[in-house]
Amino acid sequence: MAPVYSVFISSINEVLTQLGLKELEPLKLEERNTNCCNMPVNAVIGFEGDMKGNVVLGMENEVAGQMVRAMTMGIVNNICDNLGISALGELCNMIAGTASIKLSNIGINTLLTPPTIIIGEDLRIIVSRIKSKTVIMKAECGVMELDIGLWNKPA
Amino acid sequence: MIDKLSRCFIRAIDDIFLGFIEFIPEVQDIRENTDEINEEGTVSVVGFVGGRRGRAILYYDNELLMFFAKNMLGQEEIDEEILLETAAELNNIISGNAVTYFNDDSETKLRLIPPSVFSGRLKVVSPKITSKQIIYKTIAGKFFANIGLEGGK
Repeated sequence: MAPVYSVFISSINEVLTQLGLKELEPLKLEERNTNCCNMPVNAVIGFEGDMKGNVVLGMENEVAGQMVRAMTMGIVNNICDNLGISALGELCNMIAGTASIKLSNIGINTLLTPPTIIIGEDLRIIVSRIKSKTVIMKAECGVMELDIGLWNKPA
Repeated sequence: MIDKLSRCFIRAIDDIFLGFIEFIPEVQDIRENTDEINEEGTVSVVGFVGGRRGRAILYYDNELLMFFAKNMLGQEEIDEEILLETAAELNNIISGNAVTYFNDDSETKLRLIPPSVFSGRLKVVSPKITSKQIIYKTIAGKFFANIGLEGGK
């Protein structure tokens, strides 16, 4: 699994730096019994192919706002309207697409679902009923969680 | 294609409701391009890939989910985790059946991603999705299915 989460971290950083944002600093790696995330803003992307499951990018509101600002060049400042959410969805699509290409380069071929954005306080979430790897990362203005609940599909 | 997939979901929902709680829910309304859900309750999201990319979101009032969980498990004590698991399992079965009906009768083949479940006061948005929201009347609270495909009908 180690190469898989490092692929996702490098994909996030690659996309963020393209937008002029600072790279995220990984703080902690956790293994969770269920693929869950405890952040107010979450983007779920499904993976199918050589690896199957869901990846969740969870973030604090401030982090989501900063990403939306970067995506829209300052036109939209938060995720309160659909334009902001659409920008965030597109950013997550870019990150997942980059990760999918990087995975393909190491021989893991995947197909992606469009991102679904879920926003709310005190959410209770189960993403996949498998053990997942969660990387907690520090952004410029808050914390972001990358939760990877993928497993190898039997040949 | 979205119409055909929606019909497959309606058939699968009827089958599953009848099988588990012996009740066929009544379709109250079908709305187009409702890509935002703003509700308190539980939603389960299952993605599909293959010939087209998309997702199905099933929303349950917690009262309805509790009714399902009690009938499926045959027990009165249902905790929160079981409720979430019930939503995931229902979405898995409904989407699995719907995609099978669709694939059996279509050249475009879809494959499912395992479901994810969210509970609480939620806003769910799927950017760039063409969707149909099928709103049901049930015996125990609100239920709807939002079927969406990327890139038009």
